[in-house]
Amino acid sequence: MSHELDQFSLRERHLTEAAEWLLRLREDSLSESDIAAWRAWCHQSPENARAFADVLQIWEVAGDALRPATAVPATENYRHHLTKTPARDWHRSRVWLKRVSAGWSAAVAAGIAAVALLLSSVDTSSPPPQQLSIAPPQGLNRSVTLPDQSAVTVRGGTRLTADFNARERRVILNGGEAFFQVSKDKQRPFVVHALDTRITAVGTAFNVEANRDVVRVTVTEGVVEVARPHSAADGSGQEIIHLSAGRGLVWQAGQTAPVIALLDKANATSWVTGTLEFSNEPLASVVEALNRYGSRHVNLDASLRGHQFTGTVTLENIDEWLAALPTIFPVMIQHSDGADSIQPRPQEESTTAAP
Amino acid sequence: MSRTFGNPNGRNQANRIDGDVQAGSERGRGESLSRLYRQHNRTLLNFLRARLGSEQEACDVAQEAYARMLQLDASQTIHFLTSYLFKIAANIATDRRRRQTVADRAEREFTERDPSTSAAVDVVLQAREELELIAKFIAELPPKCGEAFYLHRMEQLNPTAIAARLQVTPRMVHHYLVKALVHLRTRLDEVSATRQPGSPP
Repeated sequence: MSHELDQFSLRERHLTEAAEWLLRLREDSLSESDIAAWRAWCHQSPENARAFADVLQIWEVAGDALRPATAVPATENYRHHLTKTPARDWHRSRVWLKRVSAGWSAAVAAGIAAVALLLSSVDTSSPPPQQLSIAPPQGLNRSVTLPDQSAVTVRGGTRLTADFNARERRVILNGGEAFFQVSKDKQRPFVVHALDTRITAVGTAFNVEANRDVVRVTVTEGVVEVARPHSAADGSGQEIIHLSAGRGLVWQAGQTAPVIALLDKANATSWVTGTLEFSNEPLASVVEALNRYGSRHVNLDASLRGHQFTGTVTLENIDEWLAALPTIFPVMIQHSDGADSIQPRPQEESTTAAP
Repeated sequence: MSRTFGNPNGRNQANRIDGDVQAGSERGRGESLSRLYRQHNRTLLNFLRARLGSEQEACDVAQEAYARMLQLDASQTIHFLTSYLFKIAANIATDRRRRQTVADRAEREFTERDPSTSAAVDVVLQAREELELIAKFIAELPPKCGEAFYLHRMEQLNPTAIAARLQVTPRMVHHYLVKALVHLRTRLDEVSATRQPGSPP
């Protein structure tokens, strides 16, 4: 697994360098030595050359994707182009793009285009075994329709494998979080394996989060069965809990029983829609949530951890939330290459008192 | 070769790669240009595609650059032909970029991509699918990031102008553009790598 992560970050590094070169080549102040340096970089390794070719290709194609069929005044916002009806018969693209903006369930439909199916055999008598691997990068959720028409939204940074056969619909969650909407199939139980915990569903909607030592399950529709082997000396038996809609459980490693609570359903799965709502939540938890679901890391000075925040943060607009934070709390934001830091603001003038 | 971005010794390295020669005579220049073309045309096209965003335009400008090289005064001695070629090509590309208006561009591209002139219908459909995907990837970008990308890609604004318009620093704009490119390519990689040939979209 770490090998795959290395490959991903290596490729990301090559792509980042290639993107830097592409932008450099486009500068007005481009010099001959810049061009020579670029060519030298391309020749340095096949990965560099390939990364540049790949970035160049997407650069070109992006123009085609954004281009309207008729001339548009230069002041229009780019998003307008994505939703504007083209003059020609791109009905499919128009309908499709409208669906993209309608929320996560639309993203599922769009996700059909992105699903991966590795058919390991073709057997016409029963559905062929199907394996599917979903591992979106940190900060980007991926919505996919599974071979049985169940829908899953996978949080960025998660590794999920779906392994379906004629007897069982098995999903393995190797760290991270996913929200499932399971289609009914009485012949085949839908089982999510998260660490040593098994979550079995028939026709329900539920959220599973698995970290190193804790599993959290939240049910929004229907009932699921959550099972974990007993840690009894004889190693036999399981602890089984039935969890119904509106409830969630938190099961720590080594605990024989989970903690069950009634939940605010909306917040438990709000990461799916990209909107997080907080009510008197300590800044420490707010920032922790942002770091889980966002792509850019936010640091919080320890002295600010207890400030309570009430409001909504859209994952897409974390930058704007940060920019507005100094108007609510005595803080200032420092930006650096990899992360943003929320620091206490030196009290030079008196502002509204901190809560 | 050391891996540095913006290598100050770039010129020397270029010579090591090219084996540039002087071309003092007209015939000598013709031969040198042929060699230049064979060795570096692809690189020249990549360079122009980066600046212009279109393979068609890149070809046009490259042709014009070679033509201008041929027309140069034979008595001139040109060192480092490759660099000179790229410089000429860059200038032609810049001129072309400046002359374009939005209307010109849209009209030219409308005729370029008219599906009725394409050879195979299924090629057009496949291209359309890909464009839909790319549009989706672009929509995934955070608002200012996507806006910066659009302004740079479609309206040819430089990062300083974009910074003024978006009320951020030019450094932030640069960060947005790099992030956008890496995101788009990564997403395309994900889809391409996992899609089986012949499987339904």
